[in-house]
Amino acid sequence: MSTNQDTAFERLRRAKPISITPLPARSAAEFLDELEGDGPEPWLAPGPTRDTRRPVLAAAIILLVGGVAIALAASANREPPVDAVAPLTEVTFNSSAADLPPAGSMIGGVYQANSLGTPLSMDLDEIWSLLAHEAGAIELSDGGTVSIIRPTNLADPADLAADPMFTWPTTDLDGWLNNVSPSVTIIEATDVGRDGLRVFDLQVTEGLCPNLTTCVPLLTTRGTFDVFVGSSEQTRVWWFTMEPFGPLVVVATGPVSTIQNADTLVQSMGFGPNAAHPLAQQEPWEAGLNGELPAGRIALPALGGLEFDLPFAAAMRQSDDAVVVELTALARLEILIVDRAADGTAVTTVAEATAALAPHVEVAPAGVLETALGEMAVIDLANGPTSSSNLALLTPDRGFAPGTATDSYTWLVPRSGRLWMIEVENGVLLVSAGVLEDSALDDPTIERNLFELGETVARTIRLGAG
Amino acid sequence: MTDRERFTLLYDRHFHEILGYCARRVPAQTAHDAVSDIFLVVWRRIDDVPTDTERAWLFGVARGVLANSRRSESRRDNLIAKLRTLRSPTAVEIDLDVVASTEGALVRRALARLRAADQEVLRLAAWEELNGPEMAIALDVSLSAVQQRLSRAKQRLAKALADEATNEHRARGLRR
Repeated sequence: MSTNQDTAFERLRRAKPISITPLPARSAAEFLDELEGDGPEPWLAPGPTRDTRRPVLAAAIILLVGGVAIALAASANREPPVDAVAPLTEVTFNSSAADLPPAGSMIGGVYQANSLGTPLSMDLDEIWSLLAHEAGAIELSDGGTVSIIRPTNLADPADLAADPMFTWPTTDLDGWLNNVSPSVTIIEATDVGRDGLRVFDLQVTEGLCPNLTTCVPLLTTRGTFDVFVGSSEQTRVWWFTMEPFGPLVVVATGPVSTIQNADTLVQSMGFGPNAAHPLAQQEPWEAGLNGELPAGRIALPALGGLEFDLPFAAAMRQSDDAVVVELTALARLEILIVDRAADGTAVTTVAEATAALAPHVEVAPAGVLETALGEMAVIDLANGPTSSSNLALLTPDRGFAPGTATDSYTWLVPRSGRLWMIEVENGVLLVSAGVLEDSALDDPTIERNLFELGETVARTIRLGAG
Repeated sequence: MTDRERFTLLYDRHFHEILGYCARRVPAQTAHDAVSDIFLVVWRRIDDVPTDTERAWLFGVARGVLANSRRSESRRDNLIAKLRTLRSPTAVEIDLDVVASTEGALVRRALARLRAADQEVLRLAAWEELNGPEMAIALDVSLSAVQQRLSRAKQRLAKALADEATNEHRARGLRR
C-alpha cells in the first residue's frame, strides 16, 4: 500500500503543470512606484502604524507569558493528558440554525446539517474550518481533524493494510474494539450519561500498518469517505448508536487541544428525528457525489437538479456548476450553464456564446436538435487550441467559495468537438462533447462514442429535476 | 536593509514561484491579479515577514489572497482597480501544460476527484515542493496535522488513480 501511495505521489509530482514565465512584467521598483504614485496612503505604509503597534505589543506580551507557561508545562510533561470525557446531557436539536455551508472556511455560529441522514445541529466556534461537507460526512479542522460521519464499515483489525480495507461491520463495535488490540489500545470507554453514546480514546501504536507508518485506516462511509488516524496523535471517538439506522460517529484526532475543542463541539450537538445514512436511500451520485453512473435515466443534484439518459455506463464528476462525463482523459462530455466569456462579456444567447468561441476555434453551425427542452443549436468545433490558456466560457460566479479550486467551473475550448446549446433562465445551457488533443482521435470510435453520448444527453436532458 | 530593499529582494526571489502557484489554481488573468494582491500584502506587512521561513509565509499569504480573490469584485478598492488597469495582460505569458500528456491528464483528473483540502496539501508537497514545517506554516496547522493530512491525501490519491485507470480501460472497451 505504501508503494501505491509513493507511486501515486510521484506520478502527481511529474504531472506538475509547467509554467513558462519570463521576467516579471514590472520590477519590484516599478510595482512600488505604482503604489506610491497616488501619494502616501496611511494604510499602505509597510508594517503596523503607531496605533496598531500598541495592541500588537500587548498581544506579544500575552503570547510571551503564555509561551513561558506552555514551556514550563511542557518541561514538566511533554504532552498534557487528554481530559476525561465530560458528562454529556441531551441537547435539543436547533431547527432554526443556519444551514452548514459547503466546504471551505467559515465563521462561527450555530449550524444545522442534513447531510448525515439524522439532522444535526451544533455550535461551531470560529476556530473551526470546514474541510469537507458531503453526503454522510463532515470534516472540520482546528489544526487537528474532526470527522463527523455515518460509517458503513470499519477497518478489519486483523489486516489493516488489506485491500479493501474496510470489511468489519459497524454493528459489531465491541467485536472490533476487542480485536483491534494490541495495536490500538482502548484507554477509556465511558458512560457519559447520554443515551446511545459511547466514547473511547485510542492509542495508536507507531507503525501499526505494515506499510503505513504515519496513519491507520479506521472507518469508512460506503467507500466514499475514509477516516485514518495518526499514530503520533491523540484520538477520541464518540459513537452514537442511532439505532436502528446505524451509528453516527465523531472522530477527533490531533493534539490535546483538538480533543478538548471536539469535546465542546460534541456537547453542543443536538439531533433531529433519527434517519438512515443518506446513501442508504440514495445512490451516491443522487446525493451529489462523484462516481460510476449506470446506463439509463440519471438524476443529479448539479445545476439545481437535472436528468438525462445515459446510453452506457460511465464515470462522472459533478459540482454545483457542472457535470463532467469522461470517456478518456482527453475526451469528455460537459454539461453546464454559462453566462459570461472569459473576458467578462455577458453571454445570454446562443449567438453570444458562439461569438465568444470564434477567436479560439473554428465554429460551424450544424443544424438543430429537437430535445426535451426545445430546439438546441448544434455547433461543430475544429482546430481549437491545445493550451489551457485559451479560456472561453464560464459558469455564473457564485461569489466567495473558499476551499474550492475556482469560483466557477471553467469550460476550456476543446481541440475539436460538438456543442448543443439552448438559452435557459440563467444563461446558456451547454452540452459539450469535446476532444482535448488530436491524439484522442487516433481511434475514431472515441469521437463517435462521445458524439453519441452528447446527442443522447442533449436530446433527453431536463432541468429543475432536483 | 530598508523596507524597500527587503521588498525588492522578496519580489525578485519569489515572484515566479508565487505566479506559478497561482496559475496552477486559477485562470491566467486571475493569477496575474492575485500575484499583485499578494505582493501588496507583502508590502503592507513587510515587518511581519519572517526571515527564516519567508517562503512558507508567502505561500500562506498566497492561499489567503486566492480565497479572498473569489469574493465579489465590488470589494476591491480603487488602488487594486488601478493596479489592474496598469497591468499588461500580455506582458507575462503563462502557458500551463495542462493537457500535455494522457498520463498528466489522468493524474490531474484523479487529483480533481479529491476534496479541496486533500488537493491543496498534495499540491503544496508535490508541485510547490514545500516540506512539512513549511506546509504547516502555509496552512496554519500543526506539523503533525500536516503529516496526517498528507498521508491521508496520498492514500486517497492512490485510490483515485486506480479508479481513473479502470475508467480509462473501460472507455476504450466501448469500441465497436
